Amino acid sequence: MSKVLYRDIMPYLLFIICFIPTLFSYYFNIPLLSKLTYELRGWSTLIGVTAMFLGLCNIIIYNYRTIKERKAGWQFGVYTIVLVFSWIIAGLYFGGLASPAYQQMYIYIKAQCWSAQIGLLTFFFVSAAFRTFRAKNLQALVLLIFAFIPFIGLAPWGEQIWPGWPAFSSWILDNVAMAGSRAIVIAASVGLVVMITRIVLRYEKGGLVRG
Amino acid sequence: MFIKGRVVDFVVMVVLFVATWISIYLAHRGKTREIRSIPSLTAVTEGVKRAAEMGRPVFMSAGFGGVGSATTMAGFAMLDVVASECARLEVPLRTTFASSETLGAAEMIVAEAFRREGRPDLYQPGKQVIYFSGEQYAWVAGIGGLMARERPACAVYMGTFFSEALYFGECGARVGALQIGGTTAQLALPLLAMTMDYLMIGEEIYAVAATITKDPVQMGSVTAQDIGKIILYAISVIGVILMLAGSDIVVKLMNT
Repeated sequence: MSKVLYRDIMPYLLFIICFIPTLFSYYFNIPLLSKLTYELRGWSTLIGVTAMFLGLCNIIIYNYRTIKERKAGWQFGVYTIVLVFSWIIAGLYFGGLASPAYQQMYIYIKAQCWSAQIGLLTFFFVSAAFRTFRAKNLQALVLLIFAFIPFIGLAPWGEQIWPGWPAFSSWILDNVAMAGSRAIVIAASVGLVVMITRIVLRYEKGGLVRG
Repeated sequence: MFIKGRVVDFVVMVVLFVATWISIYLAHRGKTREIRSIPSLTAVTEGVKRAAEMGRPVFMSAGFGGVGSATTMAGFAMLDVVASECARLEVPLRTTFASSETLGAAEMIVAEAFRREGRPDLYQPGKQVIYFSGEQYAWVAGIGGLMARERPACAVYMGTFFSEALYFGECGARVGALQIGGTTAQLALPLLAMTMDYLMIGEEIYAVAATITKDPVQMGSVTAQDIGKIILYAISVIGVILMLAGSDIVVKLMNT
């Protein structure tokens, strides 16, 4: 019984307690509901911060064990632990996130790694685009044409080819493309409401049940 | 009492809620209707069979969203289907999530699917559900590496995606995987459309489980979705016609 209570009923009750006030505060102007929702959001932030702290402990314990047992890739564990503490120290003791030390670390380490990663991935993006825009069939040809028009229209030199190009490109994006995308958004939103209803009615459990 | 501009929203939400409830109730009593088959969904079964024949794994990703995202929930439904097929045909499964909070649920779904198919011995905690990073492009690079190393025969993407959809499509194409994608994200939809072999557009991803499993809950949900779409599209069409006739009554109604 306690197992069912802990794994099944408790997560559902918590979900309902948080869901109902939040949902109704969106539609109704009731001060008590608004206050409750505000409190719940505060709790949500607190839970997030606690989870982050647990995550930090987990990272340190996991990497400590990897290093101690000399598991494959233990060197990365050393790197991770050194970086974690460097960032914490830089954030806490050198004047916070806006401090020059923290900013320098961000610009010269994190941003550089991120750029390098994006640079590597860009090759894949380019080859994917090339693969896509080979007009193998009629659908690919239509896609190619409708991608080409806004592409030229948005380019600074598009207007030099034909003055009406930017306006034509905007018309396609604002009317043809927009109509299609609105239909998809409406249908997807309906699907979302139906899925939430299934969760509320306990037909869908998904992430609410513990393994 | 109502916040201005949200009355119609509330009414539509209540109508959808009631329609879902009634449709599921009727479906449980056998009052369901035929659902057109979505080629992408039958392709999932074909893809897993292809992987079994080629002796290669199946890759599945439910995207970048957390457990609070409905598209991730739809991804979980697909994971359940893919994991069941993999267990039945003894095909290695690899799945990744960018959000750490989804890992527990994903492990549970995979374990349950393998147990249900009578193959709990094939479930390997931490090996089938893999975590790379919560950082978008680190996660993306991790998946690229995984695909290059393991060369999956079938790759299924269903959930919240952004620009990485194009990258995944390219990685899958390079290893010759049969690729099936679905999302509600407007940014990623054209990218998936360009790179996938099969595509599920918008709300089709919410009908996944219904079409494959014929479960009454899912079948009822699809009926409710159709009711909702008919109502909303009817309001749109009537609004356009009235606007052309010079009346903005629907616009005013929406703003009440």
